[in-house]
Amino acid sequence: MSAQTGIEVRDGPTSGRLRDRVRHRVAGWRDEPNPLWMREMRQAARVQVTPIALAVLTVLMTVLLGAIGGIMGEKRSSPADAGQALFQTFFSLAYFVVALIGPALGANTIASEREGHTWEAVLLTGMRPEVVTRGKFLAAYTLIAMYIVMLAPVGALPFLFGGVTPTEVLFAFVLLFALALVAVGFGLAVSAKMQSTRGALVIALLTAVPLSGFCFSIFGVGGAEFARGTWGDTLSRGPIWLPRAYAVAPFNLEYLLYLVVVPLVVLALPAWFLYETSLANLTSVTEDRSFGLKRWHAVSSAICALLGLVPLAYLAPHESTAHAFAPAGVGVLAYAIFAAYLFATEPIGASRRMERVLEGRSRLRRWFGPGVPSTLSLLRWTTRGAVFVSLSAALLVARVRSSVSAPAGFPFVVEAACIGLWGFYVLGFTEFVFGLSAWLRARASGGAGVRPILLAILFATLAGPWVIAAITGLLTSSGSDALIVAALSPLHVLTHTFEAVTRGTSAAQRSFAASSISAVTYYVLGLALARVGRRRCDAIVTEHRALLADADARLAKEDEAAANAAAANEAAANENAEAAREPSLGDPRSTDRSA
Amino acid sequence: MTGPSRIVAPIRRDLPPAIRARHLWQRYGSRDVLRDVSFDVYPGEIFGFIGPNGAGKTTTIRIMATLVDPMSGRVEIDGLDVTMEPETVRRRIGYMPDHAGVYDRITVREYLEFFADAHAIPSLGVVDAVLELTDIGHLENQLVATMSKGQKQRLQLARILLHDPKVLILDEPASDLDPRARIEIRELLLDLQSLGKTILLSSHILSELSDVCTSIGIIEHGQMVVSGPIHEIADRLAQRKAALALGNEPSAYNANALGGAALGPSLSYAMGPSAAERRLVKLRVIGDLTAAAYTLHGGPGIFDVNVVGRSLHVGYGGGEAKVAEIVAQLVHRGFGVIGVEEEMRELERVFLEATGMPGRGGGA
Repeated sequence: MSAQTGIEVRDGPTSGRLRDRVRHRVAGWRDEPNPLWMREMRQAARVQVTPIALAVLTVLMTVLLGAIGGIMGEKRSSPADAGQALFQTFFSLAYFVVALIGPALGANTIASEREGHTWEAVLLTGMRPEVVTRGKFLAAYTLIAMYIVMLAPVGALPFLFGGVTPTEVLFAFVLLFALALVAVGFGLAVSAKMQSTRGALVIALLTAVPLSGFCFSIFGVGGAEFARGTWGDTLSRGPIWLPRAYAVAPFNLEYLLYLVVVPLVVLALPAWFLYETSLANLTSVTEDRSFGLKRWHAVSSAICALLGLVPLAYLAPHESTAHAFAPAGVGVLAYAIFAAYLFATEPIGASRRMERVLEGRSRLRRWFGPGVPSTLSLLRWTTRGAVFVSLSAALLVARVRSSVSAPAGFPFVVEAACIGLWGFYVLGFTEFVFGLSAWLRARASGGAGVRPILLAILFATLAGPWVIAAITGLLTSSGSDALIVAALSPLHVLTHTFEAVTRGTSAAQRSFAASSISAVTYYVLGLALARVGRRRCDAIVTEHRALLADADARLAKEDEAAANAAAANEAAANENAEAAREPSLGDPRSTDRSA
Repeated sequence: MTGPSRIVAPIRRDLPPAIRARHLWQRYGSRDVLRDVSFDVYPGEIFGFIGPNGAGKTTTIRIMATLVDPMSGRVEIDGLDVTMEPETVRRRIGYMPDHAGVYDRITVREYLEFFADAHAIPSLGVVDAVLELTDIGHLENQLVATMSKGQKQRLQLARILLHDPKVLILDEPASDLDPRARIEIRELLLDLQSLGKTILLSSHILSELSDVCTSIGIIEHGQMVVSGPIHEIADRLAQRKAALALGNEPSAYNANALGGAALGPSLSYAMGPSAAERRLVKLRVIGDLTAAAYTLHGGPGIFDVNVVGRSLHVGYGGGEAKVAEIVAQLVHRGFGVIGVEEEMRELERVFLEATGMPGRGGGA
């Protein structure tokens, strides 16, 4: 039963069949919508600013497009060119409208509840964080969808000029709606962390402005260049190239990979991440707040490892397999640092409540559970898996290429040495990153300072050796030897060792040895830090359990004493009552009665 | 509101406590906000949680409301550990925080309908029921933004009653309210008690609690000074005072020895004898008030006598027998006594005695 809609919903599906269950679920969505979404819509309906803002935006866009159309007419451009120019202009602007208004609307959701002191009331209704997140997301997404729908008639104008097909316009709007998912999700994730609406808005917009510009450059301008190279000039006419690519590109493996898989990954992975981040920030610290993020991590590390292999499939005969493998290693490394940062504030161990919840669950579920040791294990094994897959694939490709086109490429031994070194270096360095993160977390009482310290140490590790090498090189004037110091930085393998080994220079052996030693050092150091960190966490958890057990024992003792006292009181009361009922021997009346 | 026809539900001290806080400790930074706080609230009680600002009332309440986990100790609501079973506890409590916010741009009915849906309450009639119970049915189509503070507090109470909780936890429910709204809230609380609800309400204003509470807990500097039924505490304090007068150690008169509620460590404070002993009775007397005042002045057990308007305010020490003695003395001397009104300051007196603050005002 929904009080807000006044509709009575059936208790359950009419049968256990899939069809009935699906019908019941759909009926639930229709008749018993998310309560937060309903309430937000009721509130929004009374905000008088929204329709004014929508109308102003639409008028401005219409005037702008009219002006561009007029200028194009003055220049005597063909209608098709004018249509294409209007299409590019409108959807570029619409992209920025969605990319900036979406986060702002999302940022206004949960933070406003906290600021208005209504959050605790919502929390205590027993609504799960998932329901709250979905309700808030739907509310903000409905509003941004209203903006897009209001702009739709203006967006359809270019189609009237020609040069743009209706399918392209349709695809462009679909992409805008898809982009809005991530934009609102980003604002929501910020809002879930913040206490004030103003703070959430400022952070969301300060991040969204450069990020939207960066994404436009990479996926719009850069993507257009890529499309031109892949499908020719006719396909790409500007930064809004994807709708046309969907409409006219030949359907083949490239279409599937670049127009289906990559956009799906680029949109879905961040959207899922933002959703799980919001959930984590809405979940109590004593619950398993990072479970969703760990699920996301497991999937995304696998996807990233697979995407890192794509360059191996497009190798030219003269290109080195090791060089094509390099981006995969860089990707794994960057992702590992991000993951270590993400889980750096993980609780030392599971709370008492979570321990009880996880007691009967599978080992896999407990592996994804809270606590530094399980998180460390998860991070290490997922990264090891990613490195293993990348390394194996690269070695396989190198082997196949050497057997097929050995004269054109490098010898397999050289390729294998470079691939192996880079793979092992990535493995060693990621072990170090995870070990360091676990050790820092075990040392910190609340976990607050772990992230900045971790980032500072990693920055020093990545950049510091280069600074030292530069200084040493300047002082001794023996640049190439001094740069061996930089082998402590993973980047050294890519910039110097690969070069030296593939060219067979005199410094190759020294450089290779220095990089290998660094990799081993990082690996051993990582294992040691992880071991120390884990031991400390175990000790803290053991101590905490002992304290809880002690407190339980004290409370149980008190309960027992109270129960004994109550029993004694009751017995005394009963005894007194008995005594009062029993006839007294000295009482003549009682003697008479007994006689 | 039921008003005078209200039937008060019995307080069931034979049943397990509805709220049981045991050895609660909480620390923020290097400051211990709660230090071994323990108390019980029995079914049907209205428990006044008293203490100055910053004493630890809100932290204790937030622990009870499952919003904060204690560092140590345990809170049980209706027998359930709030840390281990927060979801179940949330279904059994209604929590109204201090300065709770409302959604301004919806109507009263829409507001309650939202929370009814959020609680997944299967009955549509529950919104009408709470509107009637809290006497805001006539406001159901009014925007929340246009309501007065008192009406908003009643709306909050309506909200926390939607899922029919056994225990109501109210943090400063009457703060910032005008006198009329305070009276209305007080009446509403008594109505709720008559429906069998157990109510814990916090305040630092004693007059808010004095007319409604059946038992109290006084917290100061994170420590529970004293807790239990008001009359029991008053009796125990009187016994303790007598023990002190006889030169006995106060520790001999601890909570267990006296039965019932616990006495906290702060009872080792030096108590204010004047505050402890002094009571005030207002007498309406026919005749020369000044002469009547002279008659009583300097008598045994009488501290001071003042003429205020058409009444005599007599400060005395002792119980009801002393009041009867004063009245008899006046009648004996030919003064007509047409009214006797003992000043209701029991709670203030208990508070002052328990916290050892003689000469300071009751309302903090």
